[in-house]
Amino acid sequence: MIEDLNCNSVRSSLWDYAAGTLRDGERAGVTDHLQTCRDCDLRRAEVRSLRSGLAHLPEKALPSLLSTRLRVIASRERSRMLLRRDLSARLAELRRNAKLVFDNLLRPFAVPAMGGILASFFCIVMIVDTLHFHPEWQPDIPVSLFTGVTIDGLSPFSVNGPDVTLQLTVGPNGTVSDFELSGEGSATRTASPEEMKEIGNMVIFSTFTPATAFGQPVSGKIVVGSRHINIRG
Amino acid sequence: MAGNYYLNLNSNLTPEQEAVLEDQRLISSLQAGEESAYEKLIERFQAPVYNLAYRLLNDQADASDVAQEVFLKIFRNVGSFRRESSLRTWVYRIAVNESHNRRRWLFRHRRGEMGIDETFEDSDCREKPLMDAGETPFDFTVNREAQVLLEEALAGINPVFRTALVLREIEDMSYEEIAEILEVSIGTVKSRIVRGREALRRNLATRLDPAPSLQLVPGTAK
Repeated sequence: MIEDLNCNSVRSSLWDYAAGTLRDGERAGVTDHLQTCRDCDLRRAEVRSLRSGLAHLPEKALPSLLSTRLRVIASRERSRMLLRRDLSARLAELRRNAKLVFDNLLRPFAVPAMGGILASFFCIVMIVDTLHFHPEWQPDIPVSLFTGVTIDGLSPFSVNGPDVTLQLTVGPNGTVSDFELSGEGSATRTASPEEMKEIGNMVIFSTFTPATAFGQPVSGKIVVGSRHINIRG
Repeated sequence: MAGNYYLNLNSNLTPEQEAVLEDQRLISSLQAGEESAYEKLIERFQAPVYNLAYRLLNDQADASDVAQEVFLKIFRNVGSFRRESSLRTWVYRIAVNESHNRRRWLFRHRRGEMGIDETFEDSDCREKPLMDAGETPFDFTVNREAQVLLEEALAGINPVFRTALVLREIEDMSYEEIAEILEVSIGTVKSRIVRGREALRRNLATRLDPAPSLQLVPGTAK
């Protein structure tokens, strides 16, 4: 059935008419109208020209680098997708990334640090030659041995009377804590009070270095003799 | 999915059905990570995507950037593509959305900037029209001028209407496809196309018949 159409409805359908997408009845109505209406026919020619112009607009040439860039993107995204699927590959990627981050953190320090080491080495080499060491050697104190009591200084008081030999017990603080007569006949001999007083003075006013065991002062014994020397003349 | 296989049991498929099957195969290959599928997708869509972006943005550099963004999104999201629309519609939807995003970004960031593209004379970047070998130089010039006028008129219309018009008249898409791409109703698509056509016609009329700046009035000599 041919539809009876006015100019407005025909003009609104002209694009679809030119595209060939109108229903049969509507198309026949438009064709009918165009045969009788010169203005609408002119508009149809205009629409056809426009459609043709739009459809034949030249394609823009692709920028020379676009294809390459797209392929780079494709390659990167593909490998990323494949990596995500495999757990071991994912772990390997994580390890690589961590190593990269570590390297990136350390590398800026590598050159200055090496420079610092070399500079300090150079300085030491230059300075060592100019230094003169004068070590003051002190007698070493043996710390891993037992040492005996030694006499630092004897009392200026002497014992008058017969010669005596004393065994002194020296405490850790260097003072004499006990003494006894020793030597020949000491078992039968008894010292007189006067003699004991002189022996006491001699012991009190003498100074000792205590015995040591592994560096620590301990009690020790020492035998001290007093001899009379007579000089004639 | 990697395990999807499409057996061509019916050899009497229409070209449209063949195209749909081809799309399905391509999507499956992309989801499986086949290198050839990536190449095929680029070969098939790089020119349409770039041209669409160019028509919507009128700038080669922006169109190139948008094309890269579009393909990046395609590659990243093809795994979750649900095949509810055709591959072509999906790609075009991404291209249109990216172009709109780009235009919004340009509107915010490039107001008042002057480009140097107009004076750029790199032959690689210039458009290369497809010439008819039988066309005379005169015809070519006339056609070229007409094309330039048409392109300028097209570039001058509202982007919303231009998008619908470009998809319909240049990309030759159906109303349904355009509605799917633009995510609007078919009625809205038709309305936008009609308004786009009207705007294009007005723009062209203005360019072809400008108001004369100097009028000669005939008179008798004294």
